[in-house]
Amino acid sequence: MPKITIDGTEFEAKDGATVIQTCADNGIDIGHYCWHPGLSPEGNCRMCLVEVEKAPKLMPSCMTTVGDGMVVKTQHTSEKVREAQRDVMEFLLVDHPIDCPICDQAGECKLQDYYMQYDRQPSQVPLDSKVHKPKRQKFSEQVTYDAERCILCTRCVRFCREIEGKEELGMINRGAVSLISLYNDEAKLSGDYQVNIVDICPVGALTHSDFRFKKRVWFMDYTPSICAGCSRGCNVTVGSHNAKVYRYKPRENQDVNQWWMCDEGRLTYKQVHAEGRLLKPRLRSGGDNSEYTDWRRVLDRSADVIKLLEKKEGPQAIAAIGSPLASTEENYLLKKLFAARFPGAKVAFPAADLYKEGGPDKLLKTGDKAPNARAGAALGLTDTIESVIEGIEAGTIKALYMLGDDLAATGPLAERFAKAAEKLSWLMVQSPYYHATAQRAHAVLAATHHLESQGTFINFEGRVQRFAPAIKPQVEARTGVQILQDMAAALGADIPGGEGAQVFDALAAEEKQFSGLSWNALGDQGAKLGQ
Amino acid sequence: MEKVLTSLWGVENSHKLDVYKSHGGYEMAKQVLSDWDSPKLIEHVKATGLRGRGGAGFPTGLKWSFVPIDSEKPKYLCVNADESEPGTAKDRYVLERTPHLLIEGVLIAAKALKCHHAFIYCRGEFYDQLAIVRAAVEEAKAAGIVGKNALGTGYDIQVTVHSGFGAYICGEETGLIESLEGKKGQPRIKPPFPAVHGLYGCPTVVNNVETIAALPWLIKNGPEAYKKMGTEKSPGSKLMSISGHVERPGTYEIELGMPLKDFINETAGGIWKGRKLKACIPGGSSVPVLTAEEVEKVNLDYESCAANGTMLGSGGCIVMDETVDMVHMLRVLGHFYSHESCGQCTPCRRGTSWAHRTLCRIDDGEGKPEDVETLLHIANNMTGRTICPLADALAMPIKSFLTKFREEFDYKARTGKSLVQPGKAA
Repeated sequence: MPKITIDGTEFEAKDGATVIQTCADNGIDIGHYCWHPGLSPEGNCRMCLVEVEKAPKLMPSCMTTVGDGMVVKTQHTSEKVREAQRDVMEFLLVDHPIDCPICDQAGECKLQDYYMQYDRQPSQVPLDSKVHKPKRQKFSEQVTYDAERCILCTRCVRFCREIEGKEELGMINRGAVSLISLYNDEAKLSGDYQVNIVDICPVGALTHSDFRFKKRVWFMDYTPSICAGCSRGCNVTVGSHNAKVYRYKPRENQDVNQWWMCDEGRLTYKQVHAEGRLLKPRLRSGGDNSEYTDWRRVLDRSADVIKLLEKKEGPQAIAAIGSPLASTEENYLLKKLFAARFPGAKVAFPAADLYKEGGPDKLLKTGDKAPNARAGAALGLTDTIESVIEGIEAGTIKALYMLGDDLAATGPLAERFAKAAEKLSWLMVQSPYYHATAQRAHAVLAATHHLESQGTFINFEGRVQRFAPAIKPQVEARTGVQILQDMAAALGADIPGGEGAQVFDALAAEEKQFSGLSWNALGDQGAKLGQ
Repeated sequence: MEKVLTSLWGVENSHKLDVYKSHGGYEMAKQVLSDWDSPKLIEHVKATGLRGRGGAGFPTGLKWSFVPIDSEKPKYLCVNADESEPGTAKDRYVLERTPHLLIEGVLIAAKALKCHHAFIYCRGEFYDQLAIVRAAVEEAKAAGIVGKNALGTGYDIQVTVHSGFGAYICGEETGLIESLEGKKGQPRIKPPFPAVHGLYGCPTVVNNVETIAALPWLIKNGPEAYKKMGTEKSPGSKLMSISGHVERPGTYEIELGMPLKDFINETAGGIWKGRKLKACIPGGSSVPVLTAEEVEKVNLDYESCAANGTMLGSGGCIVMDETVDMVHMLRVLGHFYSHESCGQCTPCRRGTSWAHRTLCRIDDGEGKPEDVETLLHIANNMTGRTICPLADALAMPIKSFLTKFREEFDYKARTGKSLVQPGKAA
C-alpha cells in the first residue's frame, strides 16, 4: 500500500489508485468535471490539477497514479493550483451562454458551484462575441442536448461506451466548435439506461424530457428512498415539493446499483400520482359497487363482519395474502395480526414468479417487477395462493384480507382467483390503487404508496433497504402499517405499534433471519439478511 | 559539407527505385538486416548523436533504448510524415524526391527495434507525395526489398502507408497513434509513453521522416563522420525551410550551428526588394519570434536557439521584412492554432479560440486597449496546462510577439490603425 502525503497529511492509498480517488476516499475535495469514479479517466477538463513534488508541471490528479512517497498539494494548500483552476473556470465560461435562469441544471450545476468556489471574476467576453452551437438537439425522446452549455467532459460518451456497451455518442469537430454528437442524423440513443448521462452531466447540457422545466431544484426536498420498479431495489434520491414528487435520481450504493438506474424504473415515481390512485377508503353498500366512505365506518364494518364469520365458521375461515409490493413491515404486521387473532388461519404470499417480466439484463434490471419479493420467505409466509383459492372454492375460507396485489388480473391464477373471489363473504383489499381486485372487494383500504410511508424492501439478493416518506400521505390514504394497526385495534388484537421504523425493530427482534438488524443499523445503504 | 539527405536532389527520377539503387541505395539496409543486431544498431545511432528532427530534438538512439525490445508484444515503427507546422516544408521533399531513402531508413530502424510492421503516416494534404510514397513502397515490395524475407536477408518487414485526414494535431505522436488506430486524432496523456504503450497498446516508436532518412548515411559513414558536422551537442546536418521575405525561399540542407544571419543572407539570398529584416521565426510558427537584432546572435542549432529564448523546432524559418504588421501576423497564427486545436482540453479549446477572436478584434481596428493584456492573460493561462503542447504552440508566439513588438499591439488596440503600412517600406 503506497503512502502519499496530501496537503501535509500522510494517507495510505490503495494499490494503483489515482490521486483524485485517494483524495475522495479521504474526504479531500478536488474540483473536477470529467472524472467520474464509475468511468475511465480522460483528463480533459484540467480542473483537477494538483502540484506533485518533482513533477515539472501541474498534474491531472485523475490520471496520476499514487506512487509510494508521493507528495501532493491540492487547491487547499497550493496557490498555483488555485490559480490554474480559476483559469480553467474562466476558459470554460468564455463561450458559455450563461443562461442559468432558464437552465434546469441551475442549482446543481458544477459550473455555478465552482464559479462561486474558485472563480468569481467578471466575464471578459461580451455575450455577442461568443461561439454559437446547436441547441435543443434531441438525442432521444428522453434526452435533449444543448451544445452551448456543454463543457465536452465526455462523461456521456464514456457512459454509453463503457457502461451500456453502446458506441452511440462521440465528440465531433475540433477546437471551439467541438460538440457531442450521435454518429448520424437519424440515430437516437437506444439504451435502457440513457438518462444516466443526464445525471452525470456536470452542467446543463443534457436534460431529461420528464423533468425539463418542471421544477427549480432548490425548491425541492430530497429524500433517500428505493426504486420499487423491480427487485434490484436501486437506491434513489426523491425530489419533491409541495406534496408532489418530481423525479428520481440514482443514489450511490456500490452493493446494489453503483451510481446508476434504468430509465424505466426512473419513471415509476409517477405511480404515486397516477390516475388509479386510491385516496379514500371504499365500502360496498349493497349491490356490486363500493362507495367512498370514512375510515371509522370501513374499519368497524369489516371488524363486525369478520368477528361474525369467525364466530360462525371458526378462525380458519379468515385468510390473508401478503404482497411483494407491500413493505416488509406490512407483511409482518399482517402475519402478527393473524397469529394473534386467528390461530391456524392461512397467511399466504404470492409465488416468486408473479411479477416476472422477461429475463434480467446485463446491468441492473432483474426481470422481477416486485420490489419485495423476498419478504414472504424472510418472514416465513409459506402458504400458497393456490391453497387459499382451494379453501375459498371448498367453502372453508369466507373472508380474505389482501395486501396490494391485483391477483384477479395478474399471473396464471388470475381467472381462477377472480372467480373464487365472488364466493367470499368479505374481501378486504389494502392497496394504493383501485385495481381489478380492489373493485371486487367489499372493503377497500386506501393505503399509501411507498413514497408516502416508512419501511423496508428486501431486494432479490436479500438486502434489506429503508425508505422514508418523501411526501405526506395524500388526501385520506393511510400507511399500510397504520391500517393494519387500526384493523388490529378494531378486532381486539395486540400487534406492535409505531411507524415503520418501530415495527421493523420489533420484527428484527423476533424474526430469525433479521437477527442483528435494526432500523438505525440499516442506514442509507441497507444490510443483508442473515442466512 | 557532406550531404546526408539531399545528395540525390536534382538527380533526374530520383524517386525511382533503379535510380536510387544505382546510387548505392539499399546497400546499407541489406548489410544491417543481415549482419547487425538491435543493440549494436541502437548503440551506433546513440553514438552519432542524431536528434529527432520533428521539432523536440530528442536524441533518437535514447528514444529507441526505451523500447522493451524483447517484449513479446509486436513492436511498431511509425514514421511521422504529417508535416503541418506552418513554415516547414522539408519532409515533403524527402517524400517527393527520395522516398526510397526513407524506406531504407525504415528497414534499418525496424531492425533496431525488432519491428516487423512499420507505418508511414502521411499528412492528408500531401496528395501527390502520398502517391509517390505509395508507388515507391509498391516498387520496393515488387523488388523484394520490403515484405517477407526483405532483400533476401530473412528479415520480414511490412510497410503500410497511411493517409491522415488533414489535422495538424495528428503530427503529435500520440495523436498520430490514435488516428492510425482509426480514432479521432486526439493526443493521449503521457505516461504511459508510446515506447511502452503505443499503437494498439504495443511498444511503438514515432520518428520524423528526416530522422529516419538520415539513417542510411549514418550506417555508411559512421558516428565520427557525422559528428564532424554541426556542433558538439547538435551534430550533423539539418533540412531548413525558409519562407517569407527572402530572395530565394526554399529548403536547404545546412550544417547545424550555421549562423542564422548567414542562412538568411547567404543561403536564401537576403531580404527581398532590398528591404530590412524585421523579425524571424526560426523553427516553425510555434516557436518564439526573434527580432532583427536577435537574429544576429543566433546560430541554427538546438542549444544556441534555446539560449536565445527560441527553438530550432522543425526548421521552418519564416522571415518578415520591415513592412510586416505584427498584429496581423499573429492573427494568422492564432487562426491556425484555434482551427487546429483538437478540442480535448479546456484551456486549449477555449483559449486558442478566445485569443484568435481577440486578435481579430484588434487587427480589425475594433479592439480596446485592455485587449492586449487579455491576450497575455490567455497565453499565460494556457501554458503547460494541457495534455499536448498545442496550447503552448500558440502561447509562445503570443508571449514573444507581445514582448518584442508590444507597441504595435498597443497602438492598434488604441487607435485602430497599424504602426506599419503593409507592403510599404519605411
